Amino acid sequence: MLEAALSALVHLWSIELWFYMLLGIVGGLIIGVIPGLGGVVGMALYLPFLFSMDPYTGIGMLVGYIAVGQTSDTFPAVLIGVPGSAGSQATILDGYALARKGEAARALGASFSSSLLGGVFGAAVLLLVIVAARPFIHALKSPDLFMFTMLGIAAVGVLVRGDYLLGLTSALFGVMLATVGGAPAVPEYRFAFGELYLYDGLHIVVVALGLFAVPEALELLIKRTPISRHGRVKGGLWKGFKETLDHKFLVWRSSLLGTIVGAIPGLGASVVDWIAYAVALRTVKDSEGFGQGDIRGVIAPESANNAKEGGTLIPTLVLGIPGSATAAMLLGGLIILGINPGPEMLDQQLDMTLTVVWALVIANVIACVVCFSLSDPISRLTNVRGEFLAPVLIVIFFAAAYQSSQHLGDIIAMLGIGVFGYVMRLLAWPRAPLIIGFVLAPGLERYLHLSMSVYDFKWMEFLSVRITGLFILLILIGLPAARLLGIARNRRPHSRGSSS
Amino acid sequence: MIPSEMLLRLVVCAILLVGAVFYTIEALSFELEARYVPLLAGAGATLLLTLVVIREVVRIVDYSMGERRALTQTLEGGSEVKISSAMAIASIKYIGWMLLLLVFVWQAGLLVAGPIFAGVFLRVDSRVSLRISVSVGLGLLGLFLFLGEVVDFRFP
Repeated sequence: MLEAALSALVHLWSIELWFYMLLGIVGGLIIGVIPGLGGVVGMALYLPFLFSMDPYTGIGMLVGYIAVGQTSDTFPAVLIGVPGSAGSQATILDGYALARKGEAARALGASFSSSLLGGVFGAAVLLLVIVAARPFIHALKSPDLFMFTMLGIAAVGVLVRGDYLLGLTSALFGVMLATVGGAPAVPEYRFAFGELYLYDGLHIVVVALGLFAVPEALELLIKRTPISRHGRVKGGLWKGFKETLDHKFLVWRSSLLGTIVGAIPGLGASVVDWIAYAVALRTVKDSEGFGQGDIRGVIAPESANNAKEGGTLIPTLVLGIPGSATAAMLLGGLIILGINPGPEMLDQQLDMTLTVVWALVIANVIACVVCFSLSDPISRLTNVRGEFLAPVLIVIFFAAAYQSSQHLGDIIAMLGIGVFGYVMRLLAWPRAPLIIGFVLAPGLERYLHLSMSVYDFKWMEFLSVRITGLFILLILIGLPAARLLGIARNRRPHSRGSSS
Repeated sequence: MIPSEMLLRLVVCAILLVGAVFYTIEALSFELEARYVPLLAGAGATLLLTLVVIREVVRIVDYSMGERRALTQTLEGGSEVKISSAMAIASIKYIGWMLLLLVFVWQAGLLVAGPIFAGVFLRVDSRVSLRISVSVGLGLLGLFLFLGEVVDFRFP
């Protein structure tokens, strides 16, 4: 273990890796700051770069990008009251209130420093879990891994924000898309309809760009958001930094919460900041100022949403089950780099897995330094108008999609999936489960094939399989039932109230 | 009159249901080992989409019987959706722009088509000055050449 950790650290000391990590960090900062462009869009844009990279450099770039997304999205949240991503919604309450009082720099300073501490905390927990989980992971057999993958799909489908029926359907559509092309283990081409392009199946880059990037570009063009002018970010950054250190227990508490929530597949990004905010509101002294510019209302969600990244990587790296769309794309990226997700990542490829942890820590530190030193110029990016950016992005999406198999079919497939993704966005259907289902499907099929080859149908009698099956049933039936009961209970007093 | 978003939701769900049924039937024709996962996913999606379609029909019936709140409430108090005709027209217009780029790329290649498309789009649709649109086009060409050299990007 120690040897792998040192080997990972040694691999990090290369100029090429640092260059690409900086590229990831700068891209993450820019994309996070521009309102309307989510972190998933940027991730989809980075994937095509991986085809010509060595694994360590690729990991550095991807993790650099992931680590800063939740730091830079605070700029639009604080300065113009628009969340840069789902994870910065709660920051608006107090961050924007502080900005209106002329204390934007103070809010940003507190945000950057709490993001740094949260990010490092998440990475530390990730490392501890990797160490603790190794013996357990080695004991897992293919039927267990099949059931864990099923559990991941079920959890993501049900727990993702929005309609759970559509969430599950979306996850299954992801699995369906992934079955296009050659079947594993048997010489059969499925759903190719004689099209040569489809024989190799759809590539994650094409699906990710279509599902997230094209709809966002269309949205930028259609909504035509007006420019929101804001004042300059000057002074006060260090005051915010000091205040974060003064509230260190709040930082650790929120970071722990963020890591735990992040580790639950499907729950992460959209709720973690609200949960941290609500817990802070209930647990700190003198919380009357919350919502009117209390610095603790910035520190709590920002520590939590950066710590969440470490938490999300726990199921992703330990079990090969991504808990969010970004994690699914990271996993897709690791596959492009030649890394097999799943138990191998804690065994033969442990040094690469630990590179992720080190890169997460280093990227968080660099992001904090960059944000502190360049906060004023970075903040000006919030003025970029979406409709000016969109045509350039569309052309870049075309080029990025083409890198998957260098066939015009890549672009056509991206546009087709893009239209579907836009309809999903329009109807507010969850898209994250689709990409997660897509990424998990090959593993699902591989583990099922192995289980059937080795144990025939007897694997279904394993105790561990039955326990996981029970969990899946609980998630599929228990959670929606509990939610429906909750709604029914909430409606009753309301209807009584309205009748009286 | 039934709102367009409700109808759109129903139509999309129905199309997806037909697709899922077709997928499941097609999956039955594969060899045994190649059909397990497609069958599992297809049958699951068919079942779930049937439930969703039934729910959407019930919602539309509820709405037409005066239950107007059905528009904004999903089963567990979910999302609000508003689709105007202007939005629909704009969506079709921009998807048309993308298809135009696709044809242009097919005919002239992305290195030529991409920068010209970005410049023309900015000039015609976003009404940006000629100087800026030409600069953006040239900048994009420069970026592509850089990516081709440094990261070995290929272009159609």
